[in-house]
Amino acid sequence: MNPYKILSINKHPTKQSIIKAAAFAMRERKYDIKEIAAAQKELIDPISGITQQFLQFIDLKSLRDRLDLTRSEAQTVSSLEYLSCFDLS
Amino acid sequence: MKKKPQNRDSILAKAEKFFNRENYPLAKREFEKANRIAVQDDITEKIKICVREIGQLKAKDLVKKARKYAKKSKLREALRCFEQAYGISGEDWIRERINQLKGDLSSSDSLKAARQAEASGEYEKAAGLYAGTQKGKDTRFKMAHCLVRAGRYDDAVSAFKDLTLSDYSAMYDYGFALAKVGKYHQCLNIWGSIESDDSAFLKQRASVRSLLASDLYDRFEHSEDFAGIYKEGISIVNSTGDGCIGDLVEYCKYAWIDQLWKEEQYETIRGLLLPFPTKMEADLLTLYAKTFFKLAEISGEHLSDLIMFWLTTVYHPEISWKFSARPEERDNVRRALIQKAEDLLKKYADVGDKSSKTALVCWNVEKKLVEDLQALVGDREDLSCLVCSPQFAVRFGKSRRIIQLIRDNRGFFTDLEHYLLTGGYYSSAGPSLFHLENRQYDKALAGLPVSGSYDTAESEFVGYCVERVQFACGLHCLEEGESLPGQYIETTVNLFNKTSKYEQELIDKAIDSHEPDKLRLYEDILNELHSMRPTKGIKDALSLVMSRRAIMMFNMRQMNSKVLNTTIRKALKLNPENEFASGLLGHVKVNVEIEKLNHALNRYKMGKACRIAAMSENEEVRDLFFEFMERNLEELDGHDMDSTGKAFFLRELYKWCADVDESHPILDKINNKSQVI
Repeated sequence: MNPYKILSINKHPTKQSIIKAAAFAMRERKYDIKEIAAAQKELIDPISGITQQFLQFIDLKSLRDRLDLTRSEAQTVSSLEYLSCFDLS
Repeated sequence: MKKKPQNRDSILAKAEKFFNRENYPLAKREFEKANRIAVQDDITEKIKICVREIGQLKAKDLVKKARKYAKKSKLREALRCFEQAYGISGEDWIRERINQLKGDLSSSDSLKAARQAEASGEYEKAAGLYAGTQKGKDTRFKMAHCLVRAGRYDDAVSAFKDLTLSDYSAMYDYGFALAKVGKYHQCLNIWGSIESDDSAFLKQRASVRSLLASDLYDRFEHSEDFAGIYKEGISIVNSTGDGCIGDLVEYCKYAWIDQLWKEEQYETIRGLLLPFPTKMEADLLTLYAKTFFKLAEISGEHLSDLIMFWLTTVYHPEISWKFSARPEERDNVRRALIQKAEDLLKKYADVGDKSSKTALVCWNVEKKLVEDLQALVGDREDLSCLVCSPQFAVRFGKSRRIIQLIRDNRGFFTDLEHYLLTGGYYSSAGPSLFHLENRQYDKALAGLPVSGSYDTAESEFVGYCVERVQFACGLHCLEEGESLPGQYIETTVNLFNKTSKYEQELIDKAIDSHEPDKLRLYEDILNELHSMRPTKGIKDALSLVMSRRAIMMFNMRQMNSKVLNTTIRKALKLNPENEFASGLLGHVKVNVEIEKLNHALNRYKMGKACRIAAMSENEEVRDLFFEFMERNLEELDGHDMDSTGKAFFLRELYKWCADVDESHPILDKINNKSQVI
């Protein structure tokens, strides 16, 4: 179960936004009431809230940021000359 | 001699004969002769038939010739014959064949011209001429080659598209055309099959790689096709190392993983994360742990990977610090995360197969081990990277440092067993301990490292594992009723010397055993252990098992009273407080005396019988003696014996009985009988 998905809510919700999102989800009827209630409970409780945040999101920014994206000097395709080393004739 | 003139009838008869034999030329000649004598309509008709048939024969001959010419590729001669045949027969198929031959002749001319054009470097013209010829495999390759040489790369790519490339020349041409139209990745794929050391070619391939790198950068800057860039880029990285785009490819991998995570494509993410890197930093570790958690939510396929990463991740200081700045809350989150994974594992173990149950057993062991390591390391930041599961330690090369950590902190552990077991799980013999936990005895034994194959620093732990595994396997053998190989005794004694709880385990099993065959096995092993380690526990157990088996054997008539008596005495010598044996001993004595008494009575050795009965402390023995005497007294009347003989027998009987018990009522009965006689 991904409570964030069930409640269509962002990574750092406030208690109020969770309750609002749960009410909205119930009106939408996309998920079962029990699921919505469980999702709300999971996110409102501080410990399970942090737990869910850890489980449902990944943050790869630091892994990406350390990479060097400087490109080396480019060649042009026109510089490619036909080679006859594999010519059969 | 002058030839006799023929008459018309005989000529006609001859003509008919030839006609019926389908010899139309001769038939025609004879019919014409007859017609010259007198013209007749039916003869004229037959001459026409002959003419037509002769024509057909000629046409057949011509077709035959034409085919022979065609076979020899003499297309012009073949065409001439077919045309003549068609002139005679006018058949449609000959006309079609003529058209085909004309096409072939023209194609052959074009091919010649194309070859000439190609040879003289007029590739554009040659390509056109090749296109005009019949499209055989060779011609299509030649046309494609000429298109490349003519610089018509798009057309060349189209021409090569459906061809199966079988030689390097075609591969090079196709790759070159692809490169020229900007399809560098496809070019490199094709050229990847060319095994050549030609320096110019190698240089050109490197140039194409560089062009691809540049192209990937362009796409990276102008689109979000991270998957496409990654897939093309990784092929360069894999084939040539970095290729200047290592970082770009890595970046695209993570960007793609971000997209895949949102789409819940965890299996694809797993594919991107394999093989495992040699080093695992915190952010990457988190990614691995979360991915395997998500996969475990979907299926029970990767539970062992979840275990390996999860515990290590939630205890990692850099990761767990992000849970909360407050230590108490951090611990609570860690516990909650551990519980989440454990719930998943339990879910699969409850309904799943053996591997899920095995995973849960491993989890429980690893959880305890990681908890211990965490407690051992405490707040020491320099050691925090060592808090990980044994599987993780092996995979990422941390085992040796952890072993050293355990050795340096022996005092941390509650007892020797705790110390050795923890070190054992992180040692080379650790996998065997996991197998043991899962009762996979054969695997546990097979997985033990061979002496000399492991580090000396871990030898005490490996040694302990060997003892533990061999002891458990031995115990399993005993439970299965199989005997133990001899070498196990020594390692078992070593294990008992380290921790006596295993000695107690063996003793409990032995005492709980009630089958004679198993008791024999336990008696054997306890005997051997007793000779090397005569502890009170082993003595007592041996005493009990020995006496219990002896009485079982006796009851099954597989042991006589004498041996039983000896065995019981031996058991009592080992443990004088063995109440079972001492209780047995009384019964055994009676049995022995009864056996002796019966033996004497059956042989009428009455003096001996009297002595046994008189000396016995057991009423049972005397009762048996007097029962025998009463029987003899009662049966006396039935004997064929005179009065003197009977009187003599009664006097003897009285004497024997009185020797045993002077006040026994049988004496009165004997007296009464004597008086009657």
